Amino acid sequence: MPQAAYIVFGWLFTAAVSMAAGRMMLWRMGIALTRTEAAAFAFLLGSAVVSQVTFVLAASQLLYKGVLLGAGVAILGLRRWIGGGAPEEAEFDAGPRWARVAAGALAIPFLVLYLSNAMAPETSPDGATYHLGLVARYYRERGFTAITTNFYASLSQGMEMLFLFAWPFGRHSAGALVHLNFLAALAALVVCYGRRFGFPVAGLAAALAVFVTPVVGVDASSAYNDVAVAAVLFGLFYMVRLWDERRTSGSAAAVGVLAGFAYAVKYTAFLGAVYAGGYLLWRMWRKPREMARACALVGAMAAIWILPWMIKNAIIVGNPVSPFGNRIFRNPNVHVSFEEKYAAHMRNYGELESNWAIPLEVTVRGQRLNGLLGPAFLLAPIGLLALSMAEGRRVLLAAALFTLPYAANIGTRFLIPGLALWTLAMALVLSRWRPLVVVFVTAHAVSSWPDVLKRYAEPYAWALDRMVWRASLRIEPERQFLEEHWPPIQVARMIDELVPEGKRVLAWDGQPLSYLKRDVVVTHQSAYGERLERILWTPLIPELQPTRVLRFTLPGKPVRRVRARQSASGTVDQFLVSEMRLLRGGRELPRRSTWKLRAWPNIWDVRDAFDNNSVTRWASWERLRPGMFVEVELPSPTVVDAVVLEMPDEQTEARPELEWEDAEGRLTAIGGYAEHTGPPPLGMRQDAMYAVKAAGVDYLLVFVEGFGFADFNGKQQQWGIRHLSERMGYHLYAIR
Amino acid sequence: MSGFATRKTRRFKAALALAAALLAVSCVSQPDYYAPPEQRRPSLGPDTSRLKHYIRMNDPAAPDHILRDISETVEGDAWRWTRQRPMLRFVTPKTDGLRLVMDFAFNGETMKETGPVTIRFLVNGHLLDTVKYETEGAQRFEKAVPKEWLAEGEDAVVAAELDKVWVSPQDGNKLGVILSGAGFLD
Repeated sequence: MPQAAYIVFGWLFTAAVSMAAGRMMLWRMGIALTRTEAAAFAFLLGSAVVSQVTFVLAASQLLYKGVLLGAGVAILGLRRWIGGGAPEEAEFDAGPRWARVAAGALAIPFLVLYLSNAMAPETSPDGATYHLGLVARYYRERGFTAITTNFYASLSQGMEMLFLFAWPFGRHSAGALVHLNFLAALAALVVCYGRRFGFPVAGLAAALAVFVTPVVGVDASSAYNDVAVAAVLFGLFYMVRLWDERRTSGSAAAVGVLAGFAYAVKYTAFLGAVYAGGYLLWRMWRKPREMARACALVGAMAAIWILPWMIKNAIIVGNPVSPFGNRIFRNPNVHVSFEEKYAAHMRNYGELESNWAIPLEVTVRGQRLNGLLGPAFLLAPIGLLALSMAEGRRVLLAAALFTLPYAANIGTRFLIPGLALWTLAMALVLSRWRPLVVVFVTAHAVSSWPDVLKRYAEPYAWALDRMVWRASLRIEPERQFLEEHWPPIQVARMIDELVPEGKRVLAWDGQPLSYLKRDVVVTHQSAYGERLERILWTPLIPELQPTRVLRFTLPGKPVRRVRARQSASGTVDQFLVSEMRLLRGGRELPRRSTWKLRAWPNIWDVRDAFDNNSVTRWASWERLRPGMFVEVELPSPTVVDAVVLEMPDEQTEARPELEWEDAEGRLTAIGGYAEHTGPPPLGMRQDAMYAVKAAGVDYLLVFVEGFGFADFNGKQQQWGIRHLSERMGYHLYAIR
Repeated sequence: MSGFATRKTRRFKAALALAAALLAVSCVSQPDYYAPPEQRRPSLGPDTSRLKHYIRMNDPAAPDHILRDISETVEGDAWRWTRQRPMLRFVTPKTDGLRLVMDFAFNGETMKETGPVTIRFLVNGHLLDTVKYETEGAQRFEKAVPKEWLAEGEDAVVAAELDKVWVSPQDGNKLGVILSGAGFLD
């Protein structure tokens, strides 16, 4: 069977199974809907079920093609066997026929554009790297494995579970097409919402405007999750409204499912649960018993989708909300400093001179914040006029809530979750004068078409730029398309060809993991990677080298415990100890296996301060705070007359002190020390590679413009590495 | 909603139990302590080697490395004056891939009088290089040393010979360069 047929099968099979599961849920919940509403809600609720079924299979190490096929067929069979359907309501006023025809005429070219791109080989930055990279790995390993070297593996992956369901049949493109289904569901729900609540033209206009929005199109055509979040959140908003009208257990349960599934698709969509809970409390606070019941039902249903991800993280990485909350849930896998740095970067993307640049970036330019909404959204403030309507206030409240995470990540696609609601508010205002709404939507659609968009957006704005049918239908083979149009595939091929199975590669940049069969660890994606990066950079950066030598003199009495602590509060510096040595008579006491080494925080790296390796060091991996320490407890009181701390120069604010405990348990603090600058150690490159190899890394991937390339390449003998090959500027080295 | 009441209560209790279990497992039990790991090198410590491979002039061990023509006084907590033929000794734990590195500076006042200064750098009596310096300020000399000139674990004698020095008109004291560190690096 041609590859395109497999892709279509994977896509439609997943959609059909989702629809079947959703239809059964709607029937079980007894929610009466119109035919179009039922289809859209069935898809959302059923997707939640399929996602969860896949989670269970992954947790059970049962990810086989046959098992997934069997699970899907079983759901389809069950639906057919049960046969029941939810009560159906008559369709509401759909608005003028000319509006529907015009909307269809505008939408169809975009639909074709999206289908063509979604079906093409996946080349999206995040889709090809981690969304599908993790999916590929789970399928290769038949289920979840303990991935502690990639923080993306700790995010909730409800959407990835749907990609995973389609993966054995249609690989990458089936996943992207599954995501595209959510755009259809979102558009349908916005249309239905308008019809049900009496503003069909506004609903139709908003649906079309969202549908043609450039960043929505490119995101939905990729194996991402933002449009899915938008669809689920809008569905939740819609279902909350239905619950408010009906107050049935079924609609409350559906609200719970959607709230839980929203979290499962993306952490930031936890606000869906906040919205649902808040709405219930607001509407029922006069009836506490009923309120408690409804909240319990919503909470219990939501928990079915939320808790598994938390439990998985708690077990694998020791933090249920990893990669966040590391100060509370301390763990060896994500550093507190990383979390802070990452959050700061996401708030600015490292490129914007001021937040005042955001409006133009997200509407017209589209490059620095990765995507654009289109210039029509410069009119978004018009939507605030909807505050004068009850419906408008409802819509705007939810829009504002669902857009809150944008403050933490200013990428354009982080506006997608609330976009349908913002657009609906705009359409509610504009549709008071129908010609205006027609002009708005038509102008937006025209300006969003790739040929027009190229005329005003920046050249590297993230947006679809053409149809790619030959590649989509695999008339042009996937391999050929990727090799001609997408350089990262060359690097992936090089790694798979030259690195044996079971070996690990350390890289500095994200690689297309979904096209790779080898384990590539990226330095900035885990505590593990950050530690190794520091080790490899120490021979290259004098400030990282342990040249600062502090000598504390003790009275030469028996010592039970020695603690090096620091008392400063810093804004940038961390507390770092490369080596801590105990001396007697000028000679170092040999380190015994009976010594007990402790540190706070980050006890997991304390051995790095006691390994006699010049390039490893214990680091707090968070800003200086009084009380951070490294200590040694000796098995029996031993005479020590000096303690030496070897530290990197990069910590200028730390104020080290020494505390020692005598044989009777009395503590004495020593604030003064003699300090001098020691020589840079010899053999640091070999020391570094020894430590990297000991950590389980076998290969290095270094970009020609990356830091340290000249040294790695020019001093291979000193590093103990061997150059294997180069593709697209990436050099692969084997560690000897 | 009453039809759901019993089941809901059960579900609520189950959710509470799950939440409690989650909290219990998510409080990661940190290890109480670790034992020292395998040592990368024999544990000799910083003060046990007689000589180092590189020495900064403010290091307490610097006097052990100085053989001649370097001041006993540390200036500015960082550097020492040399005279015309400073000489130091080091121990190199290996011989392969080492560079002789000398970090020094020319004083502007002295250089005004001496003019450009030519320095010959020697390692164990072998001439490594001859360099003419024409500007004041910080300088770093570094050059790879043939491994045949060195012996593992044995003293390596480094000398610098200046073709001219500044001579004090008051006491005849000779000042060469401002030395902050010297030795072998890889």
